[in-house]
Amino acid sequence: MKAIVFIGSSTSGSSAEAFSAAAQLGYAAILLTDRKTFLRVKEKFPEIADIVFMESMDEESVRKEIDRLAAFHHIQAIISFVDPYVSLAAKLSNAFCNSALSVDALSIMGDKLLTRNALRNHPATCEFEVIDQNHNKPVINYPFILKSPISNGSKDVYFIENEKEFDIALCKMNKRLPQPSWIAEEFIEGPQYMIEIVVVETIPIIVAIIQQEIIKDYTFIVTAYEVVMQMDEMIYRELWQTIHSIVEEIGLQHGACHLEVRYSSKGWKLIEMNPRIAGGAMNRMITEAFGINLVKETIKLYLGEEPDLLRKNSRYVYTSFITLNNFGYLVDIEGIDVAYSVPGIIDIAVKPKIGSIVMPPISMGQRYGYTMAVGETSEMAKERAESSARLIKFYLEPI
Amino acid sequence: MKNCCICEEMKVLWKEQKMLAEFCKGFRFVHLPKMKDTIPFMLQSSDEHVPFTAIIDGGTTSYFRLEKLDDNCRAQLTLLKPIDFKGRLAVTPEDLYALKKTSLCIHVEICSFCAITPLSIDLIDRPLPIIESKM
Repeated sequence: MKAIVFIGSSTSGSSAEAFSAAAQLGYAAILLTDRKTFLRVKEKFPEIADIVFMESMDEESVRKEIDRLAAFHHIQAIISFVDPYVSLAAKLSNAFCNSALSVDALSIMGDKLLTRNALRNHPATCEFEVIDQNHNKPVINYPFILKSPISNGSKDVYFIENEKEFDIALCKMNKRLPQPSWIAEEFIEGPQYMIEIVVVETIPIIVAIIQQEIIKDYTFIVTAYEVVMQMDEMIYRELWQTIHSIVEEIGLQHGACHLEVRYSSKGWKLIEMNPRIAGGAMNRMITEAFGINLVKETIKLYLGEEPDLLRKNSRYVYTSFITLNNFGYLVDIEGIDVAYSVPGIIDIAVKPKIGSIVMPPISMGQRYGYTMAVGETSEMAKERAESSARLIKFYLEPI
Repeated sequence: MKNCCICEEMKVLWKEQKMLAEFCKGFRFVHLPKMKDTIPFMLQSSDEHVPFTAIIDGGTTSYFRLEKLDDNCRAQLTLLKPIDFKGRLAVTPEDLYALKKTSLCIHVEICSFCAITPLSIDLIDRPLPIIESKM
């Protein structure tokens, strides 16, 4: 049987939806993972034909495993929807499956510093500087954003307002995840959007624009996503031109990616870009809003088929994330059934297990669930999602 | 003077409960969050697998505090009210979240029981969980 090898995945969200998409397309999904969780929840994924647990996911080990699998599977594509395996998967796909993916561009996008350097002269690039291990004081004006070149999910991204905060953040990051260098970026004011893009033979196609609601404290947490249905034509055109030139400069000729951008007084500014669809609820949101299963269409693109990116419907979709204000052991969660009964609710996810420790958010990983709603207007979808989220109660025993 | 092995155990529990109550007293520089003076326990009668149960506030309880123990192994027990994490009377052992002292007492012959199950002292007056939801 024809097979697709997936390198790494989460147990839920966009990357996990790839398995059923592969099955729908008639391929056996094979997952290479270093997460033991998958072995425990194997029965939750009947559409995965084979789960291969690997102690190490370095290039050599993955290559060897694919060599072994190729002996008894007809591998058609090697794909990853999670960091840091996207460019590795594309590289191996080109080697094993004769695909023509833009490996160099994908690996540039996988590293924030390489992305900034590649787009150094692009008008959408904000001011930035590299902070090396010698701990040079930043020249960039306060406030700025300090981030790790390989951060994701808002981990290791800090809002720095003065020298003291800079020293503390750098010290923290060096303890947690030592890096040869860090990036300090100009703080851009303005609404933030996530743009899901598929590039087909050098032409970027904007599949969806999602506005993000962000709370800014010491770190940044996205607390809600809203699919944008209409945008001022001039602004949209400006966005398309920005994206077109970014994709061209990065060299992405064939592949999928998402950009996080802000619309500032100086026009569109790139916050970051990633060589894959955004994780979590994103694929479900796009599917509900436009009838496009972006994960499935990306797989088709990587298989060398033509992706179908035509909108089948247009619905307002809003996803509201739940964060908590207190620390504690989770004793119980209540109200999910009631929350589901709110009209227009299409999905509810609650993450933490009973007995686990929950806390106020310092990264996106401390968002403990979401409610997703559709509505006839943007306001209606938002109101439904938020009122549903308020009905979910978390019982915490203080630590 | 009556005696039995369960009574011997009950005497140890009585002693430890007194020590516990004493331990928390008299500190000037140490802050102890809450005075502990109770070792809650359950009793098992010889011929049944269900714990000994007393009637309380329209429900039942299998949880007790030892108040007095005389030389003939007759004990005065305070009924402890089992509550779930929402503060309601806990119906099953799985629902038990905290125990609250009541003013209700019973007298029992300790030697008519065959087993004692001590429980965590932290169950007494354990604060109910904080309820959080999206603001």
